Amino acid sequence: MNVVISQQDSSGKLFKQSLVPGTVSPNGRMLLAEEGQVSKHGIWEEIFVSTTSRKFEDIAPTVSPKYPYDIGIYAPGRISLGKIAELWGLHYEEMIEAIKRRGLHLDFGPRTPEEADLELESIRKHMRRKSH
Amino acid sequence: MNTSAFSALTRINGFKILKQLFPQDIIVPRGVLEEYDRKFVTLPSFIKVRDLTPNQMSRANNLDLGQGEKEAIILAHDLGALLLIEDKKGRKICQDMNVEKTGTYGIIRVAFEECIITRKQMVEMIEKLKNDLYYGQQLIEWVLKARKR
Repeated sequence: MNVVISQQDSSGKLFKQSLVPGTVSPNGRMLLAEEGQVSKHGIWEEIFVSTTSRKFEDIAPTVSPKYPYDIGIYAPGRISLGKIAELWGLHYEEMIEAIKRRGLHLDFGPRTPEEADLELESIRKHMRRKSH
Repeated sequence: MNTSAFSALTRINGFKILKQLFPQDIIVPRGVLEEYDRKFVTLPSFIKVRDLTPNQMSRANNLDLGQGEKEAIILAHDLGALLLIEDKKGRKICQDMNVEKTGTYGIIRVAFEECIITRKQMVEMIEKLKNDLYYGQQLIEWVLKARKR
């Protein structure tokens, strides 16, 4: 069984391409799925790979409805790590490793140093607080 | 404490630092422990595990997050506690609900400023998180700005 990937051209139009599982996709992203690999939701037949500069969060809704929980839907700020771990039936640490293997980046922490500065004040305020 | 922070603290063996900064209660909702694979960590005795009330659980279930994340946010909200959370979506929801938050980066920086850890330890910890959890360069630089008080 080949892996069918859905891709977008520069105009955003979707097209499909059949690839041998485990090979490198046209955009250089290694395919995670191997032939016969079983996820919580069945055998992988289709995964979504973006060939554009658009973020996953913009295109995630077009993931195959047959397997809506492709790991590619992990986009920081859009779905939490805990939620996607739940969907995949993995523990948290296993999910972190799966995301890293897929070549996706975790994106933890504040957006800006200013946001982190505000948090410092919160830490110091709570250090002075009494027990709940 | 949320699962993402629990994971980060486990990686740097940072629970004792947390205890020194917050000698009062350090609370983990049960959902965090269930979300996290217990084989990776032995829970220190000073960390208290809390179950949510049925009312809290009902409110938690309205949040589109993992079980540990939503339980942690509701608990922090109701206790007026500072929540340790790293995950972007969870942090956004904290902001919407006026829950005060920080992450392990903040704990590391304050621990150095309060002379609980040395600069060398601070650098080692933040480098570990940079490699394991992809802490960004901007965040690394922010931590390394720390000055002893």
